Amino acid sequence: MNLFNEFKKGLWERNPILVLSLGMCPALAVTTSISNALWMTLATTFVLMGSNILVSLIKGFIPSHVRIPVYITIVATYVTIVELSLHAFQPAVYKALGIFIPLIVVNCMILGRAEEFASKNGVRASAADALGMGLGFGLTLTVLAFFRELLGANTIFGYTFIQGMEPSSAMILAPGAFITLGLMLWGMNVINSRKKG
Amino acid sequence: MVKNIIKPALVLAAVAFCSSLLLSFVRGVTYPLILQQESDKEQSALMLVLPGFEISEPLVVELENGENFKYWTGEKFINGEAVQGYAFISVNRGYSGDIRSMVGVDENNIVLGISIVQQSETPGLGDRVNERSTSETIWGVILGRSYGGEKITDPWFQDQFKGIDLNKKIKIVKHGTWISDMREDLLRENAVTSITGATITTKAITGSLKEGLIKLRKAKMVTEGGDK
Repeated sequence: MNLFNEFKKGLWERNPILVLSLGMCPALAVTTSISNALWMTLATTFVLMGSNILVSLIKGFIPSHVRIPVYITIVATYVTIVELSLHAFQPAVYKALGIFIPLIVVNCMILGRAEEFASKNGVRASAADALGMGLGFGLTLTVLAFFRELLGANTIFGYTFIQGMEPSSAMILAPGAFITLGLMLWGMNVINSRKKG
Repeated sequence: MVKNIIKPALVLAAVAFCSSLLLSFVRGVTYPLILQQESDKEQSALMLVLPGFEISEPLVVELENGENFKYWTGEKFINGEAVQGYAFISVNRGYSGDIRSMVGVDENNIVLGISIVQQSETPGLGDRVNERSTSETIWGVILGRSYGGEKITDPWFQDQFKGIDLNKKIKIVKHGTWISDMREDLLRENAVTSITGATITTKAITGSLKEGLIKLRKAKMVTEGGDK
């Protein structure tokens, strides 16, 4: 098993958002600013890593027709632990992440990777998969957030981009997210078809 | 058949048991710390909305509708004269979930400051109530040059409530992001500028201030009546 390949595939070839279409809910909801996107990536990758490793460890003991409820329980437990510990020990980070932490539970990317990959592969491969998927997720989110923050709020990392320019609030609202994501998909398909051609 | 049902059921029960055990343990450890954080947050919000006041212990009063209303009284000396200030927490439903804000008012119901303690508004829209504004540009930061932009450390949305008269109607105008130059014009009209795309959030907060003030009046009547 080539660990690097398992890691690499999440970045482009099997990019969780652009190719697998998983985790669209946070991708559309929290990409209003780059810092939100980065925080979301950090929290999601952490949970994804934990759940992939745990699922891969216990995959032998789980009867196949109750595996989905078991995975959901694991993911939800993980997220709750992260939320409680952050709230208690890192209030500043908790405040910045806020609503994104509970949102991680409904990120189907995590359940999807548990079902599709971790339940069939070893611990190390699952960890590499989680890292690659998390990074691919993060890259997509950051690019999406970059355009939305730039055009929708006229800021980058919270700093004004061009003084006096009136931003378009449509980019911050849901349509802006869909349009940007659509353009990114288009761009990706163009690059892929050039490669083949 | 029996094996097919019993084994999965047992596994599921075991997983649920382990997870509950783990979570109750984690909660046991974190709960006192979380309570501590919450009370710290309340204290720092109090300092913010009643700046420079000597703040007493909170009073809890039961209103006619059975609701418990908590408020703080503060005292400050301005030119040798004692001035009273009051702080309370007002709650209103925003776009998603409750918005709780700590509000400080003086004797004439002029807002001394508000601080939003809890909200779960849409990221990028309603949650800009906590946005700290800066007119510093990204180029200025990269090049290490400042174009005389001002750095505002208090969230602008909350800052603009200072000086609003709660006896009058609070107007909501759409002037975009607030800058300190706007203060005078807005205060003349007793207005606040709303967050672009989040008028519901803005209305929820202005509405909650009015409601909170009415409750404060009733609560004061109850306590002062009790004193006599």
